[in-house]
Amino acid sequence: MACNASKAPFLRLVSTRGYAAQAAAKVGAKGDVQISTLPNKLVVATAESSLPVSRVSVLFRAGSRNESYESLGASHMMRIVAGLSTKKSSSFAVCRNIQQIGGSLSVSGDREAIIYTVETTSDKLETGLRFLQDVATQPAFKPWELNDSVPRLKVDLASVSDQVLAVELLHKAAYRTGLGNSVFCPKYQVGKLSAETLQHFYNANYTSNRCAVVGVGVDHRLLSGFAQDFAIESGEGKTAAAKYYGGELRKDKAGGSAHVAIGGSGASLSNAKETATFAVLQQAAGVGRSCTYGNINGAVGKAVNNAVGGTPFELTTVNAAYTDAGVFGVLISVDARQAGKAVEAVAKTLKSGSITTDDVARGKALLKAAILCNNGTDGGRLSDIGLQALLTGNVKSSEELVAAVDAVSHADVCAALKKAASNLSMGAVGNLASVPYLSDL
Amino acid sequence: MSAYVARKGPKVFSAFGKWAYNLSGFNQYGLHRDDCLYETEDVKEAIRRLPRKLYDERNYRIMRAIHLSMTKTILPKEEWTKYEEDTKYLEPYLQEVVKEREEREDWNKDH
Repeated sequence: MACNASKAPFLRLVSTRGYAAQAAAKVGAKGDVQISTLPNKLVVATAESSLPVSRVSVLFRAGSRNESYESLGASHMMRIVAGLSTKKSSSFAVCRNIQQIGGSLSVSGDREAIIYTVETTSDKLETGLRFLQDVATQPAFKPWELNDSVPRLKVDLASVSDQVLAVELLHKAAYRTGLGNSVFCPKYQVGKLSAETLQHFYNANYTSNRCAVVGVGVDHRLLSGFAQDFAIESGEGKTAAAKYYGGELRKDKAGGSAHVAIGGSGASLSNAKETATFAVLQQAAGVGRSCTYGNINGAVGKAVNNAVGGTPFELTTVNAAYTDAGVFGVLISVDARQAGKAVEAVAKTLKSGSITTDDVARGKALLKAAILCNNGTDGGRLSDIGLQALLTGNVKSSEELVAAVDAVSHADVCAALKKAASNLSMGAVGNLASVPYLSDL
Repeated sequence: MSAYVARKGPKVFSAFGKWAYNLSGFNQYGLHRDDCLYETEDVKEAIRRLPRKLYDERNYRIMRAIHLSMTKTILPKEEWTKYEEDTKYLEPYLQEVVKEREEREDWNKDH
């Protein structure tokens, strides 16, 4: 129904001025992130939204690096458990209530964090938050429900691509345990992780010191109050420090292509300068095509292009930064007959220890664009703010991040490349007939 | 799983209850009350959720009862299930199943 108020010229003037003022304020407030730490060390961060949609994430430092040898796969099971019954509400209630308000409740995880996210229109946020809290902090681990979700776990495992598997193997070769643990449940653990094991994993890792609550399009005080009500233990918990070993893992599979991830020690988030440097290096080395059927540019992309001479291949650079260590490497998928040449070209470029100033300049421009693009959407901002708040306890605005990128010099990037190439690791999956062993590179 | 502790014996003890319990006769086969429930959808689901040990014990009692019935005998009196010791092992699981079903029905009524 049209509103009659704006038909009066006077009121129309007021309303247009109101909208204009609002829009102007938003541009100025783009980088504004409010952050606070509760007495129990839980970090709360919020940012303005450009839409009347609220997104809230609850994050815990409960990724796969916290699994022990016996509980391998527990973090994957925690992702499976999200959506099953909680102590306060049944899985039916969680699902139907979220559906009813047109929201979505999702969970994702990596080696360090597990992230529960709810997205609803702002007027229905209260319902969304209630079930977000239930799912994230009150899981019930009912044994029969765990058994019933084994098929879902199997589907998850069956849909892991060979490329992802190669990166998993690279991590395992590089770090063995801790960061080496796969984010996916090993096949032999399917259906073996009991409710007790999961409860133990939950108690050890779901503590207030290891938690962050972030929101986009939600009031900071409201979210702080929400986070204060969490029924979780306080305490630091334990995460073993990561140590880079280096090594090689190969998994032979039928087929005509090879997927190889090759790389070395990368940036740790505790060192902001290093993080920025490796991010520039990633873009300079090449992160796939920027247009369909285009060439893969970047230092590594060009080298592989020359080596395989027209054979189609796919390449991206992996730059995974964790709190105290990281992995920087190149993931390449190529026809098995050309894989040897391609991998040699990649290793040669990494070991060369130098990268042209042109590539670095291009890398910086690409990275700045990537940072700003990511911050252009509420969803992108939410995950960015969330991981920063959880892993560093602080949130940098995109302006600060761009300034950090600008401060990276050519020499820094070359030094980072040398650091990564000093002790290489490799994970390879597929037809590996021509893929050289690490010692031959 | 501390929430699933089974109730032992009757809710309210009475001489009449005891008389009726003994009259029903299933205890002479060594069965418990929860072994004799009609297997409706709810009960079937509750049985599925039982921990392995309780599930095996239930099956053992039922098989023993069928065997006794076939041979037209009953257990010696000291092995009968006592009114005071009849364990309602299925009750917590069944209550939860019923609650979940009612929740679904209520929801479908309102939405």
